[in-house]
Amino acid sequence: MAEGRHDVGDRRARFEAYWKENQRLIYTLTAIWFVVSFAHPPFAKALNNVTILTGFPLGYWLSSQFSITVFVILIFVYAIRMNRVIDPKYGFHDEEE
Amino acid sequence: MSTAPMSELAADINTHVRMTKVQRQAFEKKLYWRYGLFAVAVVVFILTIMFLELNAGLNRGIIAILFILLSFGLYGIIGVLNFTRKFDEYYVAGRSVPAFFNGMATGADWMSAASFISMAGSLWLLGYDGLAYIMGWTGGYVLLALFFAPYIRKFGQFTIPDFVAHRFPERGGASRLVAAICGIVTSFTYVTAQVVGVGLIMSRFFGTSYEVGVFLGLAGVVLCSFLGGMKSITWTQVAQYIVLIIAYLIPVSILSARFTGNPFSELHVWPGAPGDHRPGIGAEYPECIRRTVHDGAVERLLADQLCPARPDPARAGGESRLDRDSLGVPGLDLLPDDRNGRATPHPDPLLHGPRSEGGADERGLVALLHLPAVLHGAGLRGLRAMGDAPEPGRSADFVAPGVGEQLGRTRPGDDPRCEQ
Repeated sequence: MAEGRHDVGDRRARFEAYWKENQRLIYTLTAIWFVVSFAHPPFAKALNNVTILTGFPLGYWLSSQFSITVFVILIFVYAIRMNRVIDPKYGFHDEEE
Repeated sequence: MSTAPMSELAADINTHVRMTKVQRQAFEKKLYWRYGLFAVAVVVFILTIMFLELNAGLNRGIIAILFILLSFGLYGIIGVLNFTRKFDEYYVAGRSVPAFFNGMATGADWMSAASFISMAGSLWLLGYDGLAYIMGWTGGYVLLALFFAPYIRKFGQFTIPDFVAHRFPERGGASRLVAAICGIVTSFTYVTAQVVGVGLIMSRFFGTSYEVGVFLGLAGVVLCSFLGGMKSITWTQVAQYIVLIIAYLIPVSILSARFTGNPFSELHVWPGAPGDHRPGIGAEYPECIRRTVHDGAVERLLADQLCPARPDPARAGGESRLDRDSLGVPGLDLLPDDRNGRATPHPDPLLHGPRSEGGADERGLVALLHLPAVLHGAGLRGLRAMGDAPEPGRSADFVAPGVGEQLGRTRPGDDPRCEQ
């Protein structure tokens, strides 16, 4: 455990900083999630005139592979950042060392 | 989210008992060994069966029974071995499942009967629009992972209603009620799809009626879940994940090899990529997909595959349900299995699908079965409808298999696609 756990005031301040950083990460990822979910489907038909890779219609590819891949990456980014960076930094690490 | 109730979070953090680091590492090592051996055993088993079928002419009915008995027996054994009456273990697997294995268990949920059967049908039926379901439940999972999952653990709660009530204490009762209703609606629709799938698969394997199949399947669920709760469910699902991912890869690889000459055609992303042995092969994909996207003609494409000009008398009927080569997996039926590269005919309502004039009922049912995704998916569909509304009355030839059957709409053989 991180030092200073018995210090209530310090713990409180530490917690608020922790929560702020957590929120910033969540808002960033949610914004990316929103763009990736809702920005391209309305234009799918127009985008299908563009082809990428070996000739996939762009609109179809964005929904079927790109968005899904980004979703998975978002989950990984959140989990890894929380576990490896933010939790230990403020002493709220979920594991006993 | 406000910061007010977060002091409680701070109070609850690190309150539950955990293993020490050394214990946890030993535990994980043991898990990797066991499930690694299990994965190897599954592959060896499949190869053995394949060898026996090709060389000793092993009967397909026996193969089906072997697969289902061994896998169900295994899940049963894992369920019984994980018998527990400890509260923490029963409801949250003791909060001790390593992330990697928890991910495998969640992945097994993703790939379960609902997606295995209904998703294929939805995509086939809806084309581009069907992607809303895939984006819906994958994108929805992001929200779950950002807003719920970590805090249920950190608050030391067991369920989403528990957590929501704890998180908004000033209106604990009301928020708990809302969360519970959402949970029930979501699980009910999801379980409906699952139980239909379980009933279909069990009845096809054991040759029983659909109703008996449902009870057989549910008996297995009870065996796994009531004995050991979340603990046995999680460890069963990790084993299921290994079986499922292999079971998914085999037909996809075979299809891919047939269409492109390369079992892993994802490698064809650029010309001359590793595995790109046949020049210009990548051009075959866009045509298929363009048809899906633009005019739904993929149904005709698949009808050509499914409905051969020449019926094979040897397979036309009078055989037990087990002797069919479908094994209850729709995708496998697409494999052309005679020398002409044509699929043999299946007098099977699940394949030829119900035919209806309007298609609205079936489409509604598909939507109902996927309600967990509808919240997110509806937004996508609404947005998309502004740009390109799908024409009404497009044929609904293939819905989640079994739905049409249950509705009594099935008349195998009168599918117009098969008139050739």
